[in-house]
Amino acid sequence: MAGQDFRTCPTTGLKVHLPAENLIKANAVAAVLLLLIGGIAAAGVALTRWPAIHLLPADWFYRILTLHGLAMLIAWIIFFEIAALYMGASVLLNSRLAAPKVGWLAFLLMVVGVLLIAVMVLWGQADVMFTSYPPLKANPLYYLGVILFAVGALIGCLLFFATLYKARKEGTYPHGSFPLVTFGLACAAMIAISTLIHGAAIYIPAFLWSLGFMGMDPAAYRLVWWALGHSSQQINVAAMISVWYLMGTLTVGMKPINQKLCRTAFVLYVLFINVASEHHLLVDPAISNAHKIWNTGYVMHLAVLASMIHALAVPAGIEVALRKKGYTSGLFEWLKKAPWSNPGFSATALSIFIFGFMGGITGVTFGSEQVNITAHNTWRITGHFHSTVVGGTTLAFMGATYYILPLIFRREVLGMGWAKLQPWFYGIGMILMAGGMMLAGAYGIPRRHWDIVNFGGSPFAFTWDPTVYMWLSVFGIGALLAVVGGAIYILVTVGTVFFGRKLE
Amino acid sequence: MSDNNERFGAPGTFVLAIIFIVTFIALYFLNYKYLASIWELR
Repeated sequence: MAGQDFRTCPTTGLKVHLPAENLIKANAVAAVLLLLIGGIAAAGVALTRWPAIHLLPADWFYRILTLHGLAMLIAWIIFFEIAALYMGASVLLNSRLAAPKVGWLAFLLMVVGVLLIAVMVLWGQADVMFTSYPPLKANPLYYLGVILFAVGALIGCLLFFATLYKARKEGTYPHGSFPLVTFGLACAAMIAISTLIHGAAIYIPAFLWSLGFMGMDPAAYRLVWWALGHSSQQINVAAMISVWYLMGTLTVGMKPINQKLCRTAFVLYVLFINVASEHHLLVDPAISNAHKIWNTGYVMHLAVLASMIHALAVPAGIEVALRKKGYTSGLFEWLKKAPWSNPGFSATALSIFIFGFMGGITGVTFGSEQVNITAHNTWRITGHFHSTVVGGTTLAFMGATYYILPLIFRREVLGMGWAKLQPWFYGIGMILMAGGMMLAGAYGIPRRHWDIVNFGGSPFAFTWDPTVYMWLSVFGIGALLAVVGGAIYILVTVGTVFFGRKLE
Repeated sequence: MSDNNERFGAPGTFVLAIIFIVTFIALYFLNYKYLASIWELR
């Protein structure tokens, strides 16, 4: 191990491979930039869907909605996850990154891909929304952008596994098996590889279709696309839970209460989550009932079981750690005395609550074939996935950032007072926003629609129960709070990177 | 022989898990009730 390529973090004692550190920084900066773009788009979407404001015209609403979906659900999260993968394989295992130049190639492909996507969308050449269901057709460069981004991410995942192999071969970490966080990230990377292969299987034909070289079966597209679309969110879940374990360790000194059980739960994700993606197609007439029921009535629950195990294991680990510190009075002294003023802890705790109580419960309920008929294509679905991906994953990643800044960027967090408030703004905003969406959706408010009051002057306009407008206002207020929380995160992060006091 | 004095290490989390399960069952039931009300069997 050549010492000059490494530095030792004075706080954690971890050895940081400098080329890996540069790649982690690049991917993290790209992630935050994409979060900024996606967040601005989110404000535009929310202020349009809130009928009291109804900000954007129809064409720009769908354009900005497409940009919001891709910037947030794909770009911000996957750039951050690639940074997390390099950190989990290199920094946590005291290892060199196997091939930093390959990492830069992956980064370049992802940046070029995301730029192509953004330009095409903003140019009005890809008003196809996140799912890009045929017969909606975008400019071929849009599909090419998605393919380049996916290839870059795939290379990043393979580099992660190459680094794990190198670390094991060189014996850079003390124990026989990888730490739980790295194990969880490895499961996320395995799901990512499967997901990205499905992405190639559908976006390469879509690219050729957009060039006029072949036809496209919309039913086949939907089936294969969701093996990308939902599985990509399952990468997020596995990565988010890995971050929960990491943050539990960093904030309160938690140790997993049962390593084997936690690892088994991660493996359940790898084995069962892809097939469960079919719950998006429960009302699709092209697929048989037997197929749907097997995949979503049986297989899906094995992946749900994994989430239930983690949702018990993480808080239990935190409780055990805090009880060891002396907070043993009654059932909940540990919870009252937990470090709520630490933004890393509060973000993690809010993430667990929002993911479990809002996202998890609604996900299983709406994923049931019978109930799905009442929820499909309503705003209940949008409320569900904002609870999982935003209230869960994004908030957990935001909490982790407050530890990545000193460890990787070697800067003291600037504006810690604001940082302490940030998870609360974002978390409570997301609870109100997603809750408002789900309750308005229960009255039938459709997802994605530009004008739910007059339906764009359609003769099929519908008069809603007046209660709906109260839930739409709850949504709007929540969205504004979340935008404030997101803005504080961006300001604190960017301010720290450029102006934070240098450490070491 | 097990130690009868050994206490469960995370009783607070156990209570939180019970609250979670009860919430889950209640919302699942409410959703089916809602479905039954709008899609009545005759």
